[in-house]
Amino acid sequence: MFKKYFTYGLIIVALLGSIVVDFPGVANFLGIGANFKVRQGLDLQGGTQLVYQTDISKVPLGEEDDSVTGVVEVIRNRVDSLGVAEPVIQKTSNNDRVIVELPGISDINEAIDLIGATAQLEFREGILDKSIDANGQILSSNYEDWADVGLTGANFVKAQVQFDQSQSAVISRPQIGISFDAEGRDKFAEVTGRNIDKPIAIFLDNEILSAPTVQTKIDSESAVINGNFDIEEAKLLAIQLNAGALPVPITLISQNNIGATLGSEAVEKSVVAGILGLLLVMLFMIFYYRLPGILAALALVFYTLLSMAIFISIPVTLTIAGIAGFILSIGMAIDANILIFERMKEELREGASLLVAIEQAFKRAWSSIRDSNFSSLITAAILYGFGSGTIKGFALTLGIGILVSMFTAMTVTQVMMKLMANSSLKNKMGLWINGWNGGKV
Amino acid sequence: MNIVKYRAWWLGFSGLLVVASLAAIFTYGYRLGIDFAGGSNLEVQLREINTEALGTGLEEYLVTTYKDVTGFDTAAQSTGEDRYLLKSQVIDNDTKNEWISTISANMAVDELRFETVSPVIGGEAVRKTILAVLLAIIVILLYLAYSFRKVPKPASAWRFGVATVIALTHDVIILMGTYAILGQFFGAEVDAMFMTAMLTLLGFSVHDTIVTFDRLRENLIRQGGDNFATKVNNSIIETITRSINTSFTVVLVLLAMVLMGGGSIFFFTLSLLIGIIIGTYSSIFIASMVLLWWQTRAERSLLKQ
Repeated sequence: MFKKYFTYGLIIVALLGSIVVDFPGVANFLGIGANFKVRQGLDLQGGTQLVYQTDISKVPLGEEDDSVTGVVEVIRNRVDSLGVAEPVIQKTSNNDRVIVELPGISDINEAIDLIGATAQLEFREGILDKSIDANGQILSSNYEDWADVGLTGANFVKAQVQFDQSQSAVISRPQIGISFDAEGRDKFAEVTGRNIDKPIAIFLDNEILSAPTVQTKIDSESAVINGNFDIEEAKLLAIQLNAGALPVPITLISQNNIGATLGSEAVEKSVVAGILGLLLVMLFMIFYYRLPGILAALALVFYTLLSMAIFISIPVTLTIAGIAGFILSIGMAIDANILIFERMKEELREGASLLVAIEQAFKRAWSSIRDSNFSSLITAAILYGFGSGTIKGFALTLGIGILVSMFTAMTVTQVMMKLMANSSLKNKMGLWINGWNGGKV
Repeated sequence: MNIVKYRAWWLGFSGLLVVASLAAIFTYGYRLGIDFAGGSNLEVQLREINTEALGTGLEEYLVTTYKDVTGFDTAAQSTGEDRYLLKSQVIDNDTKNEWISTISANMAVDELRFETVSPVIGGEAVRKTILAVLLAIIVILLYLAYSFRKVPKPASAWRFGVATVIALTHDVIILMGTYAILGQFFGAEVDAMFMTAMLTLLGFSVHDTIVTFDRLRENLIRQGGDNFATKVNNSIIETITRSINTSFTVVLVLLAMVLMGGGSIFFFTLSLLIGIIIGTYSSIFIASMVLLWWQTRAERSLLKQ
């Protein structure tokens, strides 16, 4: 008895809970925060997915992982400055790649430029007869002709836009003021100390920005970079420097932009296909299985509501393939009911009373329901384990759908059928079996 | 209804389909999708086209300018009204922008989708997919061995298992053959989604066979006198409604998706649809017939000894 009421309670709670989660209007009315909404994948809401390969060939052994994590952090800082809602930035598990997902972004080109800018700022000193001559005159502005001194953006604490206040400047031009950390300060003092009356060059992404001549040794935490930039460029450079230089070079190896138009078309089509599929299955069940079919159709509506609520709660990011998996699971969900109803017919033909037939049908069909769903669950699990994003989405919704369908078929349909079989409907056998002839085979 | 009586016809018909499929696979081959082969796909919506300024037809104009800017050959595949999909080898974002600004002189261009995958990633996807398929086959074989562990003598679990696998192989070959034809005439590409369809089919297809074989197992225990052929036939008849109905509901939702679901999943849902139909057919008409044929031979050779 307790078990029976427990099942009733579970079903009612699940149904009410699903309705609250699925329909924002209901949640609003009840005064529950309207945070329940389907999380849409990039292909539905539009946006871009970028895959970057990091180049860790020059990273010391054992620090590869940290440098990729560093790339993730830097990209996150840069993306945050773009103001994209819910960006996903993650490294892949085993191949030093970084995946960036920017949902609903309007200017993809700007994002690519900003993320891809290495913003590798570097101080380099001259090499005699290659980049400078004996008098300190500059011979070359090629990156390779200047020597590495180990002073890079990694040693910056802060960069900001300033204006050149010196008297020699006719117009006050924007410049970048930078502050060093302790290590940077020491290095800067050392480099300026040994390069008095010689130029040191400042490179941004291997392009020379400026090459001021050192007047005296500078032992200070701040320095100023002059360059030929306007205020916008100076601001962007300051953002990039603050966000940090990328610890290692990155290359964009895969890109997937989906415009919002295509996304909303896909949502519309998927919803239409889903509703049509659901209706066709419901009609077929009612037409073929009569009263039990109606109950199965109701259970299917319940199934749809519950699955949606689960997708929203976990949350599962729905993609086009994910919706396809879900719609497919609607067709598979009803299989359990078919196996049960066919078994029930057999029991009735063998002379069982209605209630006993229902009881036996659920009991005996269970092994085939479990087995048949099990093989589909195996493939869903393998697809989830091996697949890329799209396939994972499909496998996940299909898998969840199959599990939920086993629950709704075994409990919801069963409860409803027993309720009906205990009512006056039990004597109208024509409702239970199409063309009932009194149990003769 | 006597289904087993015509087993030579069913097996012959399937044999024919398999041969035709193999022929299609080897004659037509496959085109690989962007996620396996690498490359770039660009889909654009064009508006306000200044037709007179183009000098040539629209598609030719798109292809020629594309070649000029990117250096790669492409084809303009129509995907809607003034909507085109251009596929080529890998181009980067800047090159794509350059081409769009080039043609923008004569029309308004909305970039709907730009996808580019480096061949490196493609190679890995192929490797992973092959691993997934192998793993799925192994797990399904183990699952079959488990399902048929209780088959009574003189039948053997071994024969049940092999018959199921033959039916599965039959399904896979025919689906691949059909897909080769779809590829040749309608541009279907083998991509991760196709492999997903194939794996989903593997999982779905065995279970109809298991339902029938499960009934046969019961009947072998319960019905004493009848010969094997009659028991096979009875088992098919007793389970045929549920085999067909369970597949039919899946066919209904797939049909809804094929018709209404839109271009990006069209070939995926279509191959699932074809696969489910073949799988159901083979569960009823192939797996059992192979089993029966083998069992009869085994019994005959036993009698001779």
